[in-house]
Amino acid sequence: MTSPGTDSELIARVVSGDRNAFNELMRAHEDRVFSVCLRIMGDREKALDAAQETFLTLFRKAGQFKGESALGTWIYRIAVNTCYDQLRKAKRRPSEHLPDHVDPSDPSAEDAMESAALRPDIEEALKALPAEFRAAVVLSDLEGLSMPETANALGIPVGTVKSRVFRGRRLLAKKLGNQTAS
Amino acid sequence: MHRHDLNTIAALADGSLKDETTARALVESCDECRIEYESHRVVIAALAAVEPATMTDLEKAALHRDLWTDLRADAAPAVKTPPWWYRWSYAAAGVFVVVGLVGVVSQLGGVSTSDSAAPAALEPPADGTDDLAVLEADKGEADELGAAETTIASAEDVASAEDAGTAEDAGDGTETPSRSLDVATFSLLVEQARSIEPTSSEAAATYSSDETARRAADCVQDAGLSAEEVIGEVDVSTMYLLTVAIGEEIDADTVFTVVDFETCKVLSVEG
Repeated sequence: MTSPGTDSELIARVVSGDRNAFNELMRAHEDRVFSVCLRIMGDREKALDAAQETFLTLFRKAGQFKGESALGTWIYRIAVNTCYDQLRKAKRRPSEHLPDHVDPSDPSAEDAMESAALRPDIEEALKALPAEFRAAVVLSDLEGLSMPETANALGIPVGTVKSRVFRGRRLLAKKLGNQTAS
Repeated sequence: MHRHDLNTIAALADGSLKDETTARALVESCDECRIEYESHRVVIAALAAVEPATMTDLEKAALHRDLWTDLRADAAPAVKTPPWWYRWSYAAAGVFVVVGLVGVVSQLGGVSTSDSAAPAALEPPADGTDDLAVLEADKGEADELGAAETTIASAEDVASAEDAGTAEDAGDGTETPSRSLDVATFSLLVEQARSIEPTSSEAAATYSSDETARRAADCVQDAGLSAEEVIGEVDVSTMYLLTVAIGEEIDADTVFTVVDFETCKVLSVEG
């Protein structure tokens, strides 16, 4: 994450048409955006698409950033909304699930897969959560955002975030418990 | 167990409580609360054990490439296709001119026909000056008809040129004015070029076909850039050719030139 001062400077440069500033912004946030997208989408290929769409939106709407929240939180919000959109589209247009794609010729692929992959039981449990609960749990418990930051990123009241995180954890615990039992 | 208790237990489990005394007392005094607390702890611990997800190098490269491709498409000037009636209006205008001229010619012809009834009018003028006048008039008519036909051709060319994304060259044989390129598009082109590996212009250009490669090479020559070569991906949708000095290393100091792939002219960058 970049510092607030750097964030506002960067976004101002992006708005003024400085492409290098946008590249800098991307490099600073791309891993966390991808991480959130992967956890919400549950699929690498779809997560990459969502991350790309997130940065496209970020570029197009950079001028709308008011600085009322941290830039990182604003970007999380775009990422979550992008994921929601893509999940909705996927729901309307069900397609055959393709396996996660990682180019075998990429030497860093295996390491990244090992470090990035969720434990299968957690992954499955997270996928089974309703998208709204999943996003709240991912931002709060995986990305380490505070409740107010999560609320800001999701655009919902803090009380609603608490409720979603709480219920999400409950469902996860139930799912993990069932998996352990089986 | 009250809703308030559930929130307290959840907050205790994720460590966000400032004062845990009351919450701990609650968990220790109530079995249901303790079970709730333990289930939260299990989930939080499982999630905390997950390492951050990272992209592979190839995934990052693909993300940047695809993103800049989209942004470049955004920055490209929008091609506005004129409605069908607008295109036909050119042709209609041309036809109108032709019909009008035909009418004028017919009328002139009618006069001479009616004049032909007068034998004196059929007699050649002694000095032949009227012959010359007729020839000139015929030439004038021919020129006007020719002009009318050119008007139609130009109109159609304009329409088709607009369809093709440009109205610069209406096919009337006049010198095509040089276009300019906005800084944003230029920056995107340069950004893409800088992301190309290897960082030398040698073999850094890729073409969708041999024909495209030939066209691009010819275009660069036509633009008078014999010491330059194309860099980047070039296909049928390419609007601009980015060139650098032959063998130039691509770095921050590299000077890029942009050639309009349609007119084969060097573009100036404005903005």
